[in-house]
Amino acid sequence: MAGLDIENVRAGYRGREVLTGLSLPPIEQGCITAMVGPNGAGKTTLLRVLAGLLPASGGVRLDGLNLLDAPTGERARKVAFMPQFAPQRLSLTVVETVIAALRASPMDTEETRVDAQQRALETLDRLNILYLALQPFDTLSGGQRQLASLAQALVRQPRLLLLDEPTSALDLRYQQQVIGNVREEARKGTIVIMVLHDLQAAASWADTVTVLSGGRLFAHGHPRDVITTPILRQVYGIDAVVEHTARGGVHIQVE
Amino acid sequence: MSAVSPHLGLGQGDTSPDLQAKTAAAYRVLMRRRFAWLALLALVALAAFVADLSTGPSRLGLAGALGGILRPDSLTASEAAILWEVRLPQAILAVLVGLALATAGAEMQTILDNPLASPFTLGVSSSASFGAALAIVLGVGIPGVPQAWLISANAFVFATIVVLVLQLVVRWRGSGTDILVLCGIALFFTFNALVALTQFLASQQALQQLVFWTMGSLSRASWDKVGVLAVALLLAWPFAWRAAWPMMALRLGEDRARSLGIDITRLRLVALLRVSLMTSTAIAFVGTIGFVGLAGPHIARLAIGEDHRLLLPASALTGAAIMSLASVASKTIIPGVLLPIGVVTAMVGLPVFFSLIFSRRRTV
Ligand SMILES: Nc1ncnc2c1ncn2[C@@H]1O[C@H](COP(=O)(O)OP(=O)(O)OP(=O)(O)O)[C@@H](O)[C@H]1O
Ligand SMILES: [Mg+2]
Repeated sequence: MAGLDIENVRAGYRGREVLTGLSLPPIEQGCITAMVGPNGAGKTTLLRVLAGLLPASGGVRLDGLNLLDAPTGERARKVAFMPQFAPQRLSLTVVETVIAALRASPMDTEETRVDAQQRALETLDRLNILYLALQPFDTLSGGQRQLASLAQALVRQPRLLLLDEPTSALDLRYQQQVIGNVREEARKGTIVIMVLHDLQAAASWADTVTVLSGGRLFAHGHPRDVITTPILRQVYGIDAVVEHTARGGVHIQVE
Repeated sequence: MSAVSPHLGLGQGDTSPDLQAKTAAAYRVLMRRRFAWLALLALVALAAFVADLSTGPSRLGLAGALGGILRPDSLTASEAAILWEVRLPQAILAVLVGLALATAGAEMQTILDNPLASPFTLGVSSSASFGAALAIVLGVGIPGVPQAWLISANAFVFATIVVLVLQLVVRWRGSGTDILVLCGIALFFTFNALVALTQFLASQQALQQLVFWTMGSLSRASWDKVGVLAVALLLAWPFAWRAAWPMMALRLGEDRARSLGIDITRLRLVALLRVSLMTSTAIAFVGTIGFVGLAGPHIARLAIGEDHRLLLPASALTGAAIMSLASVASKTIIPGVLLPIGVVTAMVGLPVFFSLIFSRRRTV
């Protein structure tokens, strides 16, 4: 029951099917999945389906609840989504954006109402960006925006955490910070799916790597079995020497 | 007018264990500062209202007007008539129009995600003008409506029609802001062309009346109109207030808002209804008065930030203050002549507005 099942999902945009019957092996709770694949492979599309932003057919079950036809509020309480892009014009302060992410939901309860501010501050603290709390969102740097946007998702304490390229603009220190936070979430049983382009990061951070290509599942499994010379050649069309290190890292040398 | 200074003394290297408490305290300071701004805006609006009440062609000044309200028997019969039948309804209508247009502007800017939007952006005012033009030029109106209300009723009906059309568009094609704005622009040009056509057909006298109407004027104020507009505001405001958090979430981006479980199409539709109710009622009574609905929210945002729970009242108060001040100016710029208030809001407001924009760019 506990976990995420994705079966035969079809979804797309106006007259164009992007995901053509996508199925994944069951994802257990507390598992961190890194989703990789070429630009336009359908990674964002899949996350949007899981977050209920795009109609889809097929089956998506989270802890037995069918997400594709669950009531909006119930889905929103269990799933949090960090979009690939943060808004441009927004003069709310960072802490206000996080409070809004907690309080605006129709499932907003008395409980979240009372300590929304406290929870927002705690979340910012955990991400080590408390110092940004009172800065207007549109004065943040690219990486700071990404962190603030991540805080808006983390604060909801979801069962399923969907992160679309959460670290693409972060410096090394904050990349480590963020993966630390994500691991912490996963230890609590949260299922994390994050889209990444950095294969070395994907290999060292994730329990499972999923490769999408052309709207289909190309490979899925332990990083060691998925990030390999033949798969990189088939998916990205590049020749690379791949070395997996003993400590779970990977070294990729493109020829 | 800074409401938010970026760090308030918090530095990146700060690792004190009670940093959270410190931040919470800094946030409280920020909120207190915003409430102080709100109080200041309320004071300015009140002062402007009193000033409006005590200016006019007759010699009823500040003491006379306030005294007359507190002790009605202190005035002569003609003074009392001026106070109760002219000054008060006009001054209160000015305030209500300011409240309505600025609140509508704040909501419109949020649902269209565009700081340049105003209550008139989607063609609401040009359709209202067309309704008024029909009544003024051709005498066409809703059967059964008394003559005195014909123009207002027509303006209201046509403004409402535009909003209904926009609602249909939203239902049909989703609530994307681009589509809404494009349709609004199309409606704007359509109704402007229709107004031009009626002007072309109009007699000299009707033409003058129509031009006067489109410039906006408080001179037709009455207690009935004050009452109707107050009811419209009372209907719209509680819903605007309740939508404050979802509207803030909408600012976080459409995908984010929807992932929080917010039905953004519905949110936009209902907000559009509120905007149209407030806007069309206001312009039905006073004609088109531009600028207030754009500048009110903008000035409020500079002072207070985007927290909708504060932005809505701050916009409303700013709008009320602008209207009252414009009303004072319309009576005093050329002694003995009552200028159309729609012209004055632009003339008086524009310099203030520009100085604000240029002096406080990007600080909030
Ligand atoms: N709103 C849209 N309307 C039409 N087609 C879209 C839309 N969004 C995405 N697509 C198409 O769907 C396909 C998958 O897009 P998606 O955003 O899921 O890719 P992605 O894997 O996230 O890519 P990237 O790594 O570049 O973010 C692409 O071919 C894209 O052109
Ligand atoms: Mg993407």
